[in-house]
Amino acid sequence: MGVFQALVDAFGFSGAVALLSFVALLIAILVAVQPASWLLSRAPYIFPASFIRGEEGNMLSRRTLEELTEAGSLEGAIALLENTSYAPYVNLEENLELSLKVYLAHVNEDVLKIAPGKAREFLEIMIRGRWDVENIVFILTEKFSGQRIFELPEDLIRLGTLPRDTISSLLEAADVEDVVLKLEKTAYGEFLKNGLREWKATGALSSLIEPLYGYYNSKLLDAASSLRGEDRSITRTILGMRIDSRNIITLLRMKNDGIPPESLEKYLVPGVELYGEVSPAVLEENVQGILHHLAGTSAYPEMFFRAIRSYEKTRNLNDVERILEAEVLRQVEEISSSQVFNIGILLAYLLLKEAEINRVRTALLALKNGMKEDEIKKLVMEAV
Amino acid sequence: MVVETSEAALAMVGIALGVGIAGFGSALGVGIAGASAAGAVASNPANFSKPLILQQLPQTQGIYGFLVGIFILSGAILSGKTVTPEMSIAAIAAGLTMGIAGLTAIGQGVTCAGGIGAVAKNDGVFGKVMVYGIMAEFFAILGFVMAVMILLNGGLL
Repeated sequence: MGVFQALVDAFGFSGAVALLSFVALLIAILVAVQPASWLLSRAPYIFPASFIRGEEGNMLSRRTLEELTEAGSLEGAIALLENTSYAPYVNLEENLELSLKVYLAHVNEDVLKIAPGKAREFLEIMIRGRWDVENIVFILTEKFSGQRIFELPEDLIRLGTLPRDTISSLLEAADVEDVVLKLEKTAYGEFLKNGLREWKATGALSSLIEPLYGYYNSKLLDAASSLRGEDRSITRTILGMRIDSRNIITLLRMKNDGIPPESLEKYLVPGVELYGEVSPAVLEENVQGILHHLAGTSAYPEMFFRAIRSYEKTRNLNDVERILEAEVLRQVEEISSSQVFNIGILLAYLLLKEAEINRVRTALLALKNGMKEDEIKKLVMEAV
Repeated sequence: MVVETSEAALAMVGIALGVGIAGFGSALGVGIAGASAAGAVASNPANFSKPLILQQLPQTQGIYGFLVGIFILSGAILSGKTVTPEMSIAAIAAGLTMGIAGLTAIGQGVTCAGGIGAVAKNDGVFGKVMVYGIMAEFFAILGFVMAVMILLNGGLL
């Protein structure tokens, strides 16, 4: 009791009860501080998380996607989408390709509106850069196939950083090379110009498109460093998976297009897991050789063996791309269900919704072009 | 009314701890669940009633804290008893027990926020997420029972 009394006297309390009260208050404050500080860091994600879960609830089920592939006609498929969030964007008069792009742009815009603080800054770079690249690739592809496009929807231009005048001049460009020249003074000019030599030599559009994606993905990896804590690690995980997949597809496509091995490395984005696996010796291999090498060294042998089997059967890199994409989406879905109050839920939704819109677009365009049901099913359902 | 002013004042610290901390916990819990409910309703205005029920769960801790405060007030101040140092310590202990147990409302709020997200995605899981939300209540009830027992033993009830 002597020590206790000494403490009471030393701190000038009126008695033992006063000291105990003070200690009790101190404990109470300390206990409250820890949960409060955790909460302050996660609180900004509480509203977006529920909003996203609500939007996930509106996503198409596997059954609906299957029904879409079995619709038999474009009219039937559009009728199936009548009571879904797709309804305002799909009808027989619209250019389905563009109107579904507009839908995706609106989804991106909604996520941008609800994203908090640093996450919004990152998503802004991600979404704005993405629509720049998307718009340029769309124009390049249309010019390549000799299509005459007169206008891009305002909603697609607004989300990018390229001004309307630049987009208008691109739309008026005479051909692919003219598009590249008109972009000379933008951030994308240097990367497109690098691909111009290969484009002239091989005529492969991938030599122009892939450097664009490469630049965009490198920029995203840099931007991810501005995030903190678990936001940063989750973003790097998701980006890493996507860039790995993109690197492999770029490599295989350019290999297929006859781009020489010594020119391939510059199209790959460094700083991700599988990049380290691609040595100069691997670049000398053919498509199957590269896939066999990755099956032996990467963390996803099963995925690569499936890709090899598929490629040996069809010789179609689109099938390989779908297998890689399915694996990325499977992992993103896992992240989405376990990461609730951080950037993971926003990123996962963006990727999963984009994949869904791509599948709907594939199904509708396939129906429009009169493809057979089993072929449509293969295209749409394989990655689900 | 014979009241030892200093001891009664210390008993009031117990009220402050019980009502204040539990109220703080409940306010945070309801706030967390409320932000989540707002997200759900922004996605789809039909997501209103079930998230509202989940949002209410973290309120109970604040009510338990309020009841403990009332018990101390009536036992130490309004009853006219002479408040001894032991009684005031019991009041502080009871208030602190309830206050800290009331912080479970924060965890409950986080659980309910996650649950509201799940209901927004698929309202068929409402019953299941209610069970998750109610789990945190158990510890608040234990705290409340213990606070009442402290008050009974301290002669305040």
